[in-house]
Amino acid sequence: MRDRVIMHIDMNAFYASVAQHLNPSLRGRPVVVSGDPKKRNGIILAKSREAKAAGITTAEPLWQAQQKCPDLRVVMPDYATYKRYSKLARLIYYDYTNQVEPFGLDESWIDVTGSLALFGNDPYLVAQEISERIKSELGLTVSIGMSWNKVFAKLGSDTDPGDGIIQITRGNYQHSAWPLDAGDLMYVGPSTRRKLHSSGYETIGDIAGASDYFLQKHFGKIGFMLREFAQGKDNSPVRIMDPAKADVDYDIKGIGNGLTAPHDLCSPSEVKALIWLLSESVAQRLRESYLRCKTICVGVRRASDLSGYSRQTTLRQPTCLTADIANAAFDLLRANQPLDDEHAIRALHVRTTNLVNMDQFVQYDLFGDTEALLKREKLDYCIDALRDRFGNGCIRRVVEMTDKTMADLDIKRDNTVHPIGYLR
Amino acid sequence: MKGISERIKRYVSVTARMDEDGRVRPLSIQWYDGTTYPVDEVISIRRAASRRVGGDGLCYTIRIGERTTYLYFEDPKWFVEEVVA
Repeated sequence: MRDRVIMHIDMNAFYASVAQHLNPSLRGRPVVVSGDPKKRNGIILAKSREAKAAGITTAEPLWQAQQKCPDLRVVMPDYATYKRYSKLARLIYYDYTNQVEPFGLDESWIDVTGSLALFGNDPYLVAQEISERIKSELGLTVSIGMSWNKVFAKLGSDTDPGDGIIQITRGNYQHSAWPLDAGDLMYVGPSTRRKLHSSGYETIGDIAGASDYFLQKHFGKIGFMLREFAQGKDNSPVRIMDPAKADVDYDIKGIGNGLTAPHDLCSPSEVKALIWLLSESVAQRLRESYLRCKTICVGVRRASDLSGYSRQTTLRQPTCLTADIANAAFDLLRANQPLDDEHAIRALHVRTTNLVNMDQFVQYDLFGDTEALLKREKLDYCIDALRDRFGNGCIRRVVEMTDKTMADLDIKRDNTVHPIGYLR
Repeated sequence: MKGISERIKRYVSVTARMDEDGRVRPLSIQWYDGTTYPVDEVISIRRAASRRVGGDGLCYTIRIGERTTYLYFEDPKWFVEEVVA
C-alpha cells in the first residue's frame, strides 16, 4: 500500500506573530505576549523570534524576561483574534483536504494522501503552496513537517526553526529523526526523559531499539507506544472534523478549571471561596454539556516552593451539582493539608473526569433523600438559566463573596480555549 | 515608490453595492477630509494580508483615476494604506 502523506503545520510563535502582524511597529522587535502581572498571571505565553534570541523562554515570569531584555514590548493576549486566525488558517488547509485535525490553536495535522493527485502529486509543492498562502493571506509564517505518520510529521515541524518545510521519509528517518533528543518525541515529557536518561537512553533512535523488558518495567504499555512512535509505526488516522466546529467540540473526557489566585490563599475561607468559584464554572459547564461526573480531582500549587500535587476521589453517584463538586473538592483538600499561613496556596484547579451522559439512568441511594437531590438539581438549573440571560455575575453565592479580590472573577466567561491531548 | 516615507492603516467609509449572490463591489471611498473618490475599476479580489500596515482581509485592487491602489475589507471595516509624506 502507498504510504500516507501527512503534514503537521505549526504556526511559528503564533500569539506573538499575530500581534506583530496586526501592529507592524512591533515587527523585528522582541515582543512577548503575557498575562497581567497585576492579577499575578504575568508569565510569558509566547515570544517572538527576536525575544527568543534574547534568551526569553515560554512560561517564565514577565519580570525575569524584562531583566533579560530591557526594551521588551509586552502585549496582552487576545484569544478572540487568535481563534479567528486559527480558523482562517484551517480554511486554507481545507482547500487541500477534508482531513484536518487541529491540535490546539496553532497546530494542525492534515492528510493529503487522497487529494495529492489533484495538486500535481508532489507533496513538497503542496506544502510550499500552503506555506506561501498563509504568508500572503494571513501574514504569518508556518513550519511544516511531512512524513508518513503523524508523530514524525510533528517531529519535523518541531525541529524546523521557522518558515520551513522538513520531510522525514522512510529513506532518511534513521539519519534525521533518530539522532534527535528523546525529549523531542511526542509523549516524552520531562519525567519520562529523566527516566530514559538514567538508563542511558538519550535519543529517539535509542527508544526505537529499546527492549520489551526495559519498556515494560519502566513505562508499562505507554513504553511500547513510545517505541512504536520512535519506529514510525504510528498508524493513528488524521481525524476528520467538521470545519464549522471549533477545535474543541469533540469527545469530552474531563472538564476542569484552574486559577492562580490574586493573592496567596492562607485560610480555609479563602480556599473555600476559590474552590467554589472554580466548581461553579466546572459544574455549569458539565450541565451545559449534558454530563455528570463521577471523579473529582483537585490540584494545588504551593506558594512556598511552587511545587504541586493533585488528589482525586470518586463519588458513589454521578453528579452535576455545584455543591457536590465543591464540597468533595474542599474535603479532599482539607484531608491533605492544613489550610494556614504556613501552607499557603498559590494556585488551585478543580477537574472532573469519568463523565457520564445525563441520559444514563442513575441508581439512587435507597436510603438517601432523592427528592431533595432533584430539588437541588432544579435549583442549579434555575441559576444557570438566570446566568444565561443576565450574565454570570447576576447571581452569586455568599461563600464566593467572602474574598473581595476574587468576588468579580468570572471564570466561566474567561474559559474559552481548551487543552486537548493526542491520545483520545 | 518615490517620496513615500511611511504608510499607516486608515479606516475609511465606503459606499458599496452588494449583489444578490452576496458579492460586494466598492463604488466609492469617502476620505476623512470629505472628498469622495469614485472607484473606477475593480481589477482583482483576493484574500491578502497587508504587510505594510498590518491586518488582513479581502484585498480589492482598485483603480481610482490613473492610480491603482489596494482597498481591504477587514470584516466589517474597510481600510486603505494611507501615505504619510
